[in-house]
Order: sequence, then C-alpha cells, then structure tokens
Amino acid sequence: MLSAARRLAGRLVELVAMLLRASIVMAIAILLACVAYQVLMRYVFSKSPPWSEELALLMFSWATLGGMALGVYEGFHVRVDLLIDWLSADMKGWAERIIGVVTAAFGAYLAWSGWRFVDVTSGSVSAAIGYPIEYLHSLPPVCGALMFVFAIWRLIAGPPASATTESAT
Amino acid sequence: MTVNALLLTAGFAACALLGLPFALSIGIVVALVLIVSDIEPAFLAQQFVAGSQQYSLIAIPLFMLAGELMSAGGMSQRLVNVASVLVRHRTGGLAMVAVLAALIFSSISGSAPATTAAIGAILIPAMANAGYDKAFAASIAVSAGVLGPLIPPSIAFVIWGTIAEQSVGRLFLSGIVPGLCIAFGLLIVCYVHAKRNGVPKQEKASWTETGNAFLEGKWALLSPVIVLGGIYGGVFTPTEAAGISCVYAAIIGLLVERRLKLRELFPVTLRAARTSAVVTAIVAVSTGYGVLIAQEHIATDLAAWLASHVHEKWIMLAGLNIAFFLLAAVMDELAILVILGPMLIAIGTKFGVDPIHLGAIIVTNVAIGMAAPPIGYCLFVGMAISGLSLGRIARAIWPQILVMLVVLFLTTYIPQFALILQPGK
Repeated sequence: MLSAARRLAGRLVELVAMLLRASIVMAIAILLACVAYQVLMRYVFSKSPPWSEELALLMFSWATLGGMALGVYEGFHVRVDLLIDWLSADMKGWAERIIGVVTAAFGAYLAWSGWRFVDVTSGSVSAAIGYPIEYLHSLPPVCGALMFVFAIWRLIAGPPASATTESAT
Repeated sequence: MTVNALLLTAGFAACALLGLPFALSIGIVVALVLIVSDIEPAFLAQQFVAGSQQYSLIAIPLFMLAGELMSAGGMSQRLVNVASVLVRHRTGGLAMVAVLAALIFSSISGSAPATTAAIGAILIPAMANAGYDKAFAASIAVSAGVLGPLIPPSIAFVIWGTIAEQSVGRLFLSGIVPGLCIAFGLLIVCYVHAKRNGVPKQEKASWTETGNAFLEGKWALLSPVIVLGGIYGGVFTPTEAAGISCVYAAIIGLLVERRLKLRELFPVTLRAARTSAVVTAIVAVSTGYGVLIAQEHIATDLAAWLASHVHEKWIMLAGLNIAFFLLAAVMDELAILVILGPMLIAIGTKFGVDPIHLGAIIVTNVAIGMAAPPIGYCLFVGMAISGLSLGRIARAIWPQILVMLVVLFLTTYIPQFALILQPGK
C-alpha cells in the first residue's frame, strides 16, 4: 500500500518536472521569437513593436525561476562540494539530508513571500501589454513551491532517474 | 559589524561551504536577514522578480542556445577542420588547431565551458592519437576554453555590464587584446611542448583539402561576422545579436546543411536552458543581496577601509587579483563576480580605475578561474571528456596558467590593453 502510494507520488513529481521542462523550453522559444521579431520589424518595417521586450522579459523570468526549481530537482546547480566530498559516505548522506531540509525550508519561505507579494500588488497591469501583473509576480511563489516539493521528494526518494548525469556547466 | 552584515558575509560563506548551491545560499541569507530584521517578507519575491527582469541578461540563454545549436549541427567540427588545414603541419600543430578553433568558436559562443566542450570533444582524442600526452591534450582544451569569456560575445561581460551598469558592447571590446594575448601564449606553449617531447608533425593539407575545409566551413565562419559585425556595425544590440545567431544557427542546421533534426530542438534547447539557469538564477537572486549589501554599507565601508590602509593603486589592484585567484580556488567564478560585484565597483571608483578597464581585469580573472585547478567549469568539462583525474590535468596545465597570469598582469597594469580598441580612446 505504502509502496504503491510512493510510486504514484514519484510519477506525479516526475510529471510536474516534465511539464516544467516543457514550459521552460517553450519560454526560451518564445523569448527568441520576440527578440528576432523585434529586429525584423525594426529593419524591415522601421518600427519596434511595443510588446516584444515585455513578453521576452516575462519568458526570461520564467526560464530563470523555473530553471532554478528544475535545478533543485535535477541537482544541476553549481556548488562547492570540496568539504562534502571529504566526509565519509554515512556523513555525506546526512549532509545531503540537511541541505535538502534547508532547501525545502527556503522554498517554503519563498512561496510564502511570493504569496504576500502577489497579494499586495494584485490588480495592477503591465506597462506595455497590459497583462495582469499577477502573471509575473506569481512566478517566485510557484518557483518556491516547486523547490519545496522537489527538495522533499529528493529527501524521500533520492536523485531522480530522469536527472541529467552530464555536467550542467 | 552588525548581525545583518555578518549574515550577508560569513553566513553566505558558511552556506556555500556546507555545499548548498550558490543561488540558494544567496537566497537563504537574504531570507535570514529579512527574518532577523523583521523586514516585510515580500521583499524576497519582489527582488526575485526585479533580478529576472533585466533585458541585457536575456543574451545569456540565447548565447547558450546558439552554442548548443551550432554544436548539434556539427559546426564545431567544421571550425576545427578549418583551423586544422591552416596550422596542423607546424610543430605542435594539432594543439595549435585546438587554440585556433577555440578562438573562432569564442567569437560565436560566449561561454568558456561550451568552448572547451566543443573543441575538446573533437581534439582531445585526436591529439592523443597523434602522439600527444593525453593530459596535455586535455589541458590545452581546458585552457583554450578561457577564450570564450574574453573574446566577444561573452556571458561574463554581459553579467558584469549589468551589475556595473556599463555598456556591454564596450566591455566586449576590452577583452579582445587580453584574449588574443592568451591565445598567442598558448600557441607558444604548444610549440615548446611538441618540440621538447618530439611529437611527430602532421601532414600539410593539400590545396584541395584546404579549399574543401573552407567551403564546408563557410556557414560556421560567417557566424562571427554576423554577430560581431552586427553589434559593432550598430545593426543590433548584444542581446539581439544573441537572438540572431540562434536563428542563423537553426536555419543553417535545419534548412541549409540539414545536419540538425527537428526532434533535436527540444533536447538542445533544454540543455541550453539548464546551463543558462545555473548562471541566471545566481544573477537574479543576487539583486536582493545587492540591495541589502548597499543598505548595510558593506561595499562602501570596505572600499573606504581599503583606501585608508592601502595608498597605492597598484598594490590595491595586485591585492584584488590575488584575492580573486584564491577565491576562485573554492568558489564559482560567476558567483564571485555577482557577490563581490558591488564591492569591486566601490573599490574601483575609490581608486579611480576606469570602469571598462576594471571590467577587463575582473573578466580576465573570471576566465583564469574557469581553467585553474582545483575547481573551474572548463576543468570539469576537460576531465569529463578525457576521463583523466584532476591531478593529471593540473600537472599539465600550469604552463598555460602561467601564460594567463602574465596576461592578467599586463591587463592590470597597462590599461591600454583593455582600452586600446575603445571608440574615441
């Protein structure tokens, strides 16, 4: 029963990670399209669209913050591992657990901080496109919540099989 | 020192040394300061948004993507072929091919590890087969990678330009002379190594082979012309240049040369997204950190303290270089750039260092840190490709590090090194 629940949870987390990956790739594709369209419009039609920069920035914010959360899941963030590598296998496991707990706590704090930020600023719209500012301001709490979930899941199940083994650098 | 100042400095160091990722370490100390000082928690989220809404930073994922698209489309192989027909028949020729190919690749990609990966994957095995010591082969690919951040375009200069509020285009220009000097120094190292170890020379390329290499490599060779010509011809900004080079690489790969498959686009973009997020997350998170550092007057106090104790500019610059080199031995170079940015700017202003010159010194330091043992992005890539231990590459790489330190010395004390190509100077 417990193992079935765990398998289901594992599948759910992996599904969330897959959606996250797809959304980041989409964000980068859209931001590239915005930048390219901007150059094209300026040189071919001599006018710059007012919305392209704002949309590109919104996509960039997601690529950055979503990427930050994905980094927690896949473990590709850069860090100093000199000290951890010196520890015995047993101690290393404990150190990784502490890091996981701290990461989850930070994710939770960011989610809460972001929730308050959305609450305070809701109702306004962006300058050029006029999209509801909640779209942009909800990215940090979403990033925080994802970091929380991913860090907790790594504490339970260890690094995911889908995580890239190649260096992220 | 106040509790907040202690958290921002020693607290960050403790988090990072414990093995927490840099981006999280920065975020965590900001959160702790907010909790300790009873500041509105929404500040953290607000600063995350502000940090990720900087237009110039968009160049980072785009330059990463351009590099990935070109590698996936086989353009790096063709750049290597062009470099090969030019210099492979000289003493140390194949090693020189690595340096030359890295130089060309650097004018497309802005990333040091991407340069090492593109060149190393092809040339480390090729050099080992041609009679070079494999550790030397790896060390040349690692050290040639540092040309990535020095030769424009450059991700390190984009970050520095954003932090220091300087023109990215002008900063790009300041890295060219130091970059070319390092490339020249590396060529000498290749020659001396091959001469000493009696590495056999390669056969000279025939005219037909040379012609074919250039013909096949024409699209790859045109790419730096578009990127650099576009930026300095005033056609587009560095960010737009990054976008255009992605579009160019995609069109050439998918439609003209057809070596890039549509189904590869997703994994290629995801790879670029990952490497980009590693860097941009650090930069975005550090915005809030920078605000708190300013609020606590840490940067300005440090600069004032230094000015009252160190009276000579040259001693201060030497100290700055030594401190950076030592820090880079334990910390990620781009994280140092971001964390120490406000302090470096305050010190530079106090001692009257030209901001563009300061940028060149800092980015030369960043570049060296990426190749210098014990930790560095390029070094890790070199180890991964060659399968060699850190110790073996470290023993082979010291002459190249020496070359870079000489160039750093020259860049530090001869401002013209950085400024000679500046318009109006």
